[in-house]
Amino acid sequence: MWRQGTPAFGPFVQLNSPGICEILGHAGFDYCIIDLEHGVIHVDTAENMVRASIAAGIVPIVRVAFNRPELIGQALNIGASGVHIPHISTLEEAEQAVFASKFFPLGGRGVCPFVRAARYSADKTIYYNKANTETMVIVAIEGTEGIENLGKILKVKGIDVVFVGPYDLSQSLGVPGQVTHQKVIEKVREIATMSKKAGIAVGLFVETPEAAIEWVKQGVLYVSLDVDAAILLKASMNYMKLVREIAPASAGER
Amino acid sequence: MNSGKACIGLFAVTASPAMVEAIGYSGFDFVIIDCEHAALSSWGTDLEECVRAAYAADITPLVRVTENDKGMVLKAFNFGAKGVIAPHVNTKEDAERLVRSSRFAPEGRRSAAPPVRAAKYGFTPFPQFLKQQNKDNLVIPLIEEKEALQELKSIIEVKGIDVLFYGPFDMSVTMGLEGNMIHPTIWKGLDDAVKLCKPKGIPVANLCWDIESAAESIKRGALMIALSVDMVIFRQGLQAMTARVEKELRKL
Repeated sequence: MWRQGTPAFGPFVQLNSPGICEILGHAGFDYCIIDLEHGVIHVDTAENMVRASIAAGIVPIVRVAFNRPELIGQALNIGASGVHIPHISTLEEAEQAVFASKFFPLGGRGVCPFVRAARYSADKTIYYNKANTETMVIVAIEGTEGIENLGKILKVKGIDVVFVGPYDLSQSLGVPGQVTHQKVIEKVREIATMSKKAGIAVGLFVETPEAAIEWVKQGVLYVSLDVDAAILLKASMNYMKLVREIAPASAGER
Repeated sequence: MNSGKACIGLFAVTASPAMVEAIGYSGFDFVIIDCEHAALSSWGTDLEECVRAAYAADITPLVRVTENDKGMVLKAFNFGAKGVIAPHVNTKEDAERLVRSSRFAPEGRRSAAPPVRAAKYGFTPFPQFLKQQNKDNLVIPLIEEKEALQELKSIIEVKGIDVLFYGPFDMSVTMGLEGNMIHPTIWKGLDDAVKLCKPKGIPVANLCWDIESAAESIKRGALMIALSVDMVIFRQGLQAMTARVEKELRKL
């Protein structure tokens, strides 16, 4: 996908249902982001959601709630292909994120060969090497401090995607929620340009296919396309709109 | 099994998606997710997670339902089981009920709904789903009471039985043999089942506790072997470990 330079598309999953991950896979998305930051999802359900993703041939990414080694370790232990770490603002935070995500010599991820990711110990030594090359580290820049430090953050070895969270970014720029505000757009472009220059893929959250197409043209490879609940809401509203248009205004009108 | 080679799996009674997945990685051909004796409901999400785990690890999931019940059979197939094993099938009527629960019309009367996991939540067009399910799903009655042996000839006359599962443990209990699965009378029951099923092209499955009895079963014509139970294998591992602990570590 984005590692080969082609754009990949995947929504956030905030509803705690393994079935949703499978549905997204069947629908043809490339990956899904199981959201333990803003979703109402416990880790045991997250493990079933990772399994569901594998069963449906979609890449499971887990967004952890904080940049904490125990949370990153847990996400990778249940078998996430990549870990999405929110609110990275400094060089140190980026280094900590990578350290928690990779085994020696690249980092110091907690070692346990009996977890799902190691196929409950069916995979022996190959697990460590494979995990270090295959595990994706996605760091989210979503504030002005992160942008100021981006030059340094981009030098950290082991980052696969620099992800822009436009909502938090809009708040830190003083225009909360206005993700299409010129100030926000400019900063997104700035982050994208710097990351591309450093040879690191750029990720962005968008809410419409049109926005996705626009940003892909501008070089975004990791396109996080909408949120499961929002997709369901929009589809439901369309359904109801159609029904209301066709149905008589009141039961008496025939 | 179709090529005449026996396939080997085991029962999972630990009601755990992780265990089902681990069994998948071990190289067995199938896993029987048990809702009869295990602490696993035939109805809800826990069973679905176990079935899903089998897909994730690419092992064939069969479900043994709690009883030969239309609703339980429906759920198991809706969740994505590739076969359903119904316990204590004793009569032709029992077998007919199982087939009726398992197949969509015209062969049966399975209740139809497209947005289920087995139909990829509706991504598989319903007519295609219907044909695929009726063709591929395995309907497996479990013959495990001495009365069932007497009725066997009429049971296997029922159209739509894909495999006949011989249950030597319950069989031995109903014969007063108290769980002795390798008693000559129990082997004879298997032989009778194979003799009746073979001309009709119905493979016979057997439960075995060890490699020796599995080999013996295959020699006698069984084509599907449930080689023990996850909890039993776990207990044996523990006992092997504690035996060495006693011998080698307690003395230190």
